[in-house]
Amino acid sequence: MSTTKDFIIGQLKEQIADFKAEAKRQTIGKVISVSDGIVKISGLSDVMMSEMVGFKTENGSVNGVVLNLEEDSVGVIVLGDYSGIKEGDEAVATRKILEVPVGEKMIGRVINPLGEVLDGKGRIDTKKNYPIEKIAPGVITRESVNQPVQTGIKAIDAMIPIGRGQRELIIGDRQVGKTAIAIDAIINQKGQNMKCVYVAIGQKESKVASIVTKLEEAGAMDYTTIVLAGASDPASLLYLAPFSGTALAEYFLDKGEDVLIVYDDLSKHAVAYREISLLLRRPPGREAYPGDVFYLHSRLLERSCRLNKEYGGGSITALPIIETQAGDVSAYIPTNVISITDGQIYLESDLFYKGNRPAINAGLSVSRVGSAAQIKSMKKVAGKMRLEAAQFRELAAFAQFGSDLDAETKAKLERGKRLTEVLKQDVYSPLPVASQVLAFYALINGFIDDVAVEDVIKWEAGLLKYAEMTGKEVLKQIEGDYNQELEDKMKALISEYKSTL
Amino acid sequence: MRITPKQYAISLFESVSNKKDGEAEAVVKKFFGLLVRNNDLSKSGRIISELARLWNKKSDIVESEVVTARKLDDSSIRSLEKFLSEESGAKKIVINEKVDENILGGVVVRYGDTMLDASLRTKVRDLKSAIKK
Repeated sequence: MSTTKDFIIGQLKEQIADFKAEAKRQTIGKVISVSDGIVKISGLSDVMMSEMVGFKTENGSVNGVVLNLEEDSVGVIVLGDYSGIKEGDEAVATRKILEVPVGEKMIGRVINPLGEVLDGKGRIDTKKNYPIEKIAPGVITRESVNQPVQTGIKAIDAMIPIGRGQRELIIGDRQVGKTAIAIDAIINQKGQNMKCVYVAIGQKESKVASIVTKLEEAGAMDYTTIVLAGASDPASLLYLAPFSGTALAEYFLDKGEDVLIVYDDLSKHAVAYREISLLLRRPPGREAYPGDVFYLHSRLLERSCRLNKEYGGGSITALPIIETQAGDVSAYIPTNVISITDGQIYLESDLFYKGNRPAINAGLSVSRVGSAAQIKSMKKVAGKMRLEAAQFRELAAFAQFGSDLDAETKAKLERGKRLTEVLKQDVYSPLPVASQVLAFYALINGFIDDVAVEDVIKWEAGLLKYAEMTGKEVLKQIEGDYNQELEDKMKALISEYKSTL
Repeated sequence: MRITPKQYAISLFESVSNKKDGEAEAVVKKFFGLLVRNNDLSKSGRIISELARLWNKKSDIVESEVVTARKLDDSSIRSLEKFLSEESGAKKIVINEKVDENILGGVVVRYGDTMLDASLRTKVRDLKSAIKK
């Protein structure tokens, strides 16, 4: 007891001694007007762009960020509750560019874009702050994508592979499983030496709560941070959220680690930015978005990268999500983000309602860099599979008209039907690569052709269970090099399984 | 086109500078007429404050507001004046004194966009938040 007392008194004396030496010189301004989270200030003559500005209100102090520097006023967005700010209030320049606390302790927590705790698990003490905006790594520091991100989703890992440092857009209508794909990918990063950041922008807090529970159940919160700007938060926080998530990711990047960051979703981010821009009276452009909405997303996604060995060798893989309206990918924001990213996963509601889940449209989905990063055995089976899928799509459209089909075409169609079945997968159940390769190998080598289409899912689950029990060796080998010996072993394993049925 | 208070102030300032009081009076009268014609009388408050700012800038005067808990004696005002003229580089310092017991002690000086907060209240508040941490 006495030691704490002494400690407190000692601290107090120290603080008082410190304060005596200090006479604070501050630049101040006066609030001219307050409207919808935007504050106009006169004065603050030497304030910087995106500098933090402090307001002292009756309900505590609030911070703002300078976004507009005009001839004789400054436009500021308020980060938090602006209802306490009145006309004539004093605004104090802090001389600091907006930054957020970052650190290891953020892992496993739910925070808001300013780094404040939202999960009620106590304060986070961090030593470091990172600026919200940072110029993306240059050419000299980068390396091409050469390591895979295993999402655990069969359709993606085989046909639209993602590499570490890639930016892969997930695009589709509402309620077609965009978030589910991202969450699956996060769950599958367990033991893959990857940190994850999930940025929820304008999401319902109930949805985020269920995501957190899901991740906790799967043990994924051991390496995941959730940055939440909810639907009821002001537009300023929604605007900041992806940037602050990226700042956290960059902290791990600078330590040479690999990070997976999900922005869910950037269409709401664009809407929040449009709101801020219009309130700041910046001229509107197409769909009333401001002229720099492309730059907004390109500078954000450009920060995802793969650094070379000399610069730490870390990576940031980004999975931005865009929600389309009635499948319209040619709207302003979707086209922008499609052109920025290194490929897209296109989800279709028609496929979703048909029961093809995940509802990935293999024809419209592409990955521009990821195939370089696939593991050897996956590359081998996936190449053949992609071809089969393409042929099936072509024939299926063609076969609708004719009834007389030759045997070869019929076989192709049957194979294709089984392929769609194999690609079906439940949510929150990512598969390890080795199992995926085995299933695909069985498919392209005709082992499934004699199984009824309705039974394929059950057959495949049985195969993977069997391999898990008796073929651990083979599964291990699949992750290594691909050769004839492995192929023989896989063939033997699958035949063995078939004989047990 | 609408004329901003700042533009009004600048034009008034330019037309009255280097004029005798009598002439200036006529100019001000005309200026008033202009405001009435443009229906801009509501801007007069901001025009006046802008004009005062311009005037001070031109003649190197710094107006400052000094808030203390108790009334200052002459010697401390003089030393404050000296401090402020060194600080801002202005020739003449106008000090508007204000007594506010809420700041407990010390002094808060404001001039232009700058505030020097050496009040006891702020120190106590900072100490409080430091201890809370």
